[in-house]
Amino acid sequence: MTPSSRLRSTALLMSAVFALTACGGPTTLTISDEWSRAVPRVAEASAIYFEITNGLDSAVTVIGGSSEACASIELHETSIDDNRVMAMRPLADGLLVGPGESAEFEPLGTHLMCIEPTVFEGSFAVTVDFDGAADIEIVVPIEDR
Amino acid sequence: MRRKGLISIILGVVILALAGWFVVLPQLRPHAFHGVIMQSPTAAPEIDLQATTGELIGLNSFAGKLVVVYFGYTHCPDVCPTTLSTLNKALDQMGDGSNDVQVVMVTVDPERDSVELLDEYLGFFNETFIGLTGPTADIRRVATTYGIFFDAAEGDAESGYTVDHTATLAVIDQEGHLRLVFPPELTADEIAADLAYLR
Ligand SMILES: [Cu+2]
Repeated sequence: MTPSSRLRSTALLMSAVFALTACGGPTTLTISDEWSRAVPRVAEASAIYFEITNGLDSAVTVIGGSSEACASIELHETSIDDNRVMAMRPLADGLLVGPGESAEFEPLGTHLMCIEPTVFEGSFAVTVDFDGAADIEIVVPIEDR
Repeated sequence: MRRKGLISIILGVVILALAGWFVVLPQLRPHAFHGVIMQSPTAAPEIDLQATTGELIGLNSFAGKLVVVYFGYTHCPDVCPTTLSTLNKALDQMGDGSNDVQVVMVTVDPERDSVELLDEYLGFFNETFIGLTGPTADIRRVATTYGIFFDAAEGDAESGYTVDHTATLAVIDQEGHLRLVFPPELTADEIAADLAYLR
């Protein structure tokens, strides 16, 4: 067991204990409804979407992620101005999710961008990196929503 | 006996009224467009670019069809695949009616989007989608006439650059008039309803 994975297991155990002792509502940091839009094999990038619910009593910051199915993963935000011009930019400072709050990663909004994807059907594992909490591993199904 | 007759008359009236409300009225009401309708439809500006189908293409290549024009690029991970997937679902919903619709995507990234790449990329979403490209100056000229802005924005080394671009869709009718503009957030249902009405 590497030090970081031991840390992760400890964090998992701790959050499991918290979840068991608390009444009502999650007291953990959770990621749900994860999916990635199906793109053709020639695509140089794809997007990963999900919802983060921060049931902890402190803020966390999403700072990025990693996956064996992507050369790299970046945290991006698509914004649209009054003239309907779409622009996509990295969120250099990460995305802060306050205690008790949730954040939606969705099309035409915030997303994790998978650069040079290598998996185009089925699903792939992604580690979402946080500041202020342990990283979370998710399995992302590739869908055409 | 008389009472029974009265009840059937009342019942008949109620049924007729309901039928009128749900069947006749919606057909009398004008179609409420989800896209932004052009009040006085003008001739759509010419699009003379290189097509993924091989030849140089002009709008008259699609005469008799509704043409949906989108400006996008294949290195775009979020907006463009979302829009192309939505358009495919809209055409799907239209069934045979989709034969009267031609979707074209003009690349705003001709440096990286070759004809082959565009063709393969678009074909994944729908085999009927046609990609258009050409020299940057030509694309910019066409885009400007459609009120479309685009500009490359520097990314970091890993992801390369991205292209800011107006993400609206223009709809050109069978007579070559610019009729409708779809904002990027419309759903497949909304797009299908508008296209089915114009068809
Ligand atoms: Cu992105």
